[in-house]
Formats: sequence, C-alpha cells, structure tokens
Amino acid sequence: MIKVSNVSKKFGRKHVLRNINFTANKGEITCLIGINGVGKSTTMKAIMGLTPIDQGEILIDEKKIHHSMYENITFIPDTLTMLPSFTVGEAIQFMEDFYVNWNQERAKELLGFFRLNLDEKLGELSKGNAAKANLLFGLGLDVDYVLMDEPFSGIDMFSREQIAKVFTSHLIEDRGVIITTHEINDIEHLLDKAILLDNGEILKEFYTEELRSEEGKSVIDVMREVYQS
Amino acid sequence: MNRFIKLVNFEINRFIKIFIGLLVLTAISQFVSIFIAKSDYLNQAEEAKYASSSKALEEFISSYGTISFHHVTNNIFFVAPIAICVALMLLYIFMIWYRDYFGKNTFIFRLFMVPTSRMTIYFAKASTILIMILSLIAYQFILLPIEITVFENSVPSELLSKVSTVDLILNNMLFTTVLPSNFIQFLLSYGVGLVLIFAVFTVILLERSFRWKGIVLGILYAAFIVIVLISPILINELVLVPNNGFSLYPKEVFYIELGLIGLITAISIMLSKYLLQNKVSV
Repeated sequence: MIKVSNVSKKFGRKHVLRNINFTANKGEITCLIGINGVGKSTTMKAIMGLTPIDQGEILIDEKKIHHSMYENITFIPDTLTMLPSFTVGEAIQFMEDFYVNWNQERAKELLGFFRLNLDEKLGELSKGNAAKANLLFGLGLDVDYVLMDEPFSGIDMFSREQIAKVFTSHLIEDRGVIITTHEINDIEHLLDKAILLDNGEILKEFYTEELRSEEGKSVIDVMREVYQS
Repeated sequence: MNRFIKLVNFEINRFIKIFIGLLVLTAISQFVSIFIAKSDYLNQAEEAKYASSSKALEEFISSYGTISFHHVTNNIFFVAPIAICVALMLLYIFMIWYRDYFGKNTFIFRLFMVPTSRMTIYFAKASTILIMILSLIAYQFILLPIEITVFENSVPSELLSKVSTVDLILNNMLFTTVLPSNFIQFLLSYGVGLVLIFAVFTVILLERSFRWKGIVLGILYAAFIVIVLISPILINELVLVPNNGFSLYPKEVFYIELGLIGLITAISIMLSKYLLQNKVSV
C-alpha cells in the first residue's frame, strides 16, 4: 500500500500541496483528478522521491522511499524519460542493464501490443507512440506499483484506446496503479478509486463502484458537483 | 559497483563522438602547426640561400637561429586545440548535469529512478569527467613523440636543434602544468582540478535545489572556496610578515594548501550528498 500522510509542499510562496492524505492499494487503480496545476504531478513526484516534501510522510509498503525501491515502483511521466537519440531497442537495453526486475518477455509483448519498432529513434516518435514507449519502459518492469502522469495527454483517439486497453489486461493485473488525468472519459469505467484535487487540497475521495451502486452517479457527475459548485 | 561502472560507461558513450572529434581536431591542428612552423622557417632559409655555402648557412643561423620543436609548440595551431579541449571540458562539467534536465526529453527522471544511490550517479559523472581529462592528457603525450619525429624528419639536420620529449615537457610551462615533474606538485595541480569539478557540481546542485536563490548561494560558495584557497598566502603576506616579521616556508604553504584542497573536496561532496538526497527537485 502507498500511504500519503499530511503531505504539504510549497514552491516559493505558492502552496502546491496542502495536507494531502490518501492511500492507494495493490490491485486497485487510483486516479488523481483535477485541472492542470492542482498538484497531481507534484504528488506523483513526491511519492517517487523526485520532489522533496516540506511536511508529512509517504510510505510504500510501510517503508520510506529509497533508491532500492525503484525495483518495486515505477513512474511514467507525461514526457519521455529516455534520451531522444536512443532507439526503442537501445532504451530497452538500458532498462535491462540497470533494472534487475526488467521483464524482457513482457517488454516483447508490449512492443507487439503497441506495434513499436525497435529501430525507431525515440526523438522521432509521434506523441502517441512516445506515450506508448513510455508505458513500455514502465510496464516492462516487474513492479508492484505503477504511477502514470497524464498518459492520455495530447495523444490521438486510437492511441488513447490502445493505452486504455492496457488497464484491463494482465499487464496491470494485481499491481497498484496511481494515475493522474484531467481527461476522465477514456478511463472512468476502469477506476477503482477517485481523488478530486483542487488548489493542492483533496476535495473528495471515493470508490467509484460504491458511488455508482449507492448514489447512481458517475465520476463525471461528482466532478461537476465538486468543481462547478 | 556494477551500476557505477555501467553509469560511467553510459556517460562516456554519450560524449564519445565529441570526444573523438576533439582527438581528431587536436591531431590535425597540431600537425598543421608543424607544417606552418617548418614552412615559415624554411622559406626564410630558402630566401637566404642557406644551402649555397657554409658561410650562408652560418649567417642564416646567427640571424635566425636553428629551429626546434619549441617553434611548433608556440604556434597558435598547436595551442588552440588544447585551449578548445580545456574550454569544452569546463563546459562539459556543467553540461553533464544540465543536459539531463533540459532538452526534448527529461532524462533526469530516468536517471534518478535508476535503483542506485544518487551519490553513485554523482561519482559516475565526476569519474567520467576525470577519465575524459586524463585521456586527453595521455593522448597529448602519445602524440608528442610522433609529432617530434615527423617534425625532425622534415627539417634539414643542419638547421635543426633536436629536442627530446622529456626535455620538451620539462621546459614548457603548459606541459609542466599538466604533467608536473614531482609528485607533490602533481597532487596540487590535480587536487585543484578535482576541487574545481566538485565545487562546480555543488554550485549546479545548489541551483537545481533553490533555483535563483541557489545561483546566489553558488556564487557565495565559489567565493568561499577562493578565499579559503588563497587564505594561506594572504595570511602570510598581510598578517605574519607585517606583524611578526616572518613568513611561512613555501613548503608549509604547500602542505596547508593540500590540506585545504582535501577539506574543500570533502565539504563539496558532503554538501552535494545532502542536496541530492534532500533538496534537488526534478
């Protein structure tokens, strides 16, 4: 379980995160929802130890983030994290060289699934294919937790559909996923838990199934209530 | 250790094309300098018709002297590639961090998510720079005897003053700086170089941690280092000599400087470790 407790972060005088509390469990897809600039990406980076926090505590399976845990948790940001001069094949080789938990079989499966070419340079990929390559480098690792920052941002409809299929496949099964998005339509039906953020604060947190069965509402209905009230 | 070696190898591969370009440039430019120095001198000799009689030869030599490889090392085409290498390596100390942050893709995300401590990444980058610098120096010292041989074989023996590679290194300020003749001097030269690398790394990490405030802190840190390094000389000249009438022996100043270099290196590494673990933000 990823446990975020009382986390606050300021950039200069601006409060980016204010006393954030939530948990994300293994086997569940948790979505941080909110418009741009509400603190979603900062939360992800804070979980990964890429952005230091001012207050609070973040525990992953009851341990503070440590470099050895990057074999167990991965972060897929909204930009490519590999050198643009690398080919897809060279980037896969990089992952294999540096991560014990790199699963070459799964990488091959993802390559086929996303129809990526090993010889293609990363810097020359379309935005959709770059997003798929990013997913490949993240999901090719045998990790318990996957953090994805805006995986659907700025990519075409067909690529979005293809990426959405990943969430219902065995590639995600049993893993704990935290995803951030401001485009909820493509993945609403896949989410287990939604957390609505605004101005660095959590406005609402709920299990989507409970909401549907108890109140008959969709995530989008709640978003309208919360953000337009 | 394994990941450290892989990271060093990775960093070297990223710079290898530019590095090979520098090696090629250095060789070409220095061979051009041989050609120019030799041609300029021989043209003058031809004009003086030095080969027509032994008297003409004597007169020419008494006016212009003989030619040695020192003429080549004073040529701009010999020194320029060395200056370019120094400038590029200085630039590379900054580039090795900043290119991971900026550009089309943000590689720093991947680098900081490699399952190894950030200090391993830090030392891999520092080691890469040291390997590059030492390789360039070694390359120059491999080139020198070849250049001397080519030069001496292309100049008529009666006009030539032969210079051995060792003599050249011992009598040229540029070469004595990069390859000091005694071990202590070697420690001091390379110690200052090491301090420079670690100090610049600390300044970069201060900037990456605190942005604009970090630049100010970086400048203050650099000023602190300069003051600490020149303090033994200042104390000697401004305090000890005027007040007590005695000064520290050069050897004493030397050992104090060595100690200070060690101290600043340790402070820079510790400060960098703190920043990498607690402050640097991606």
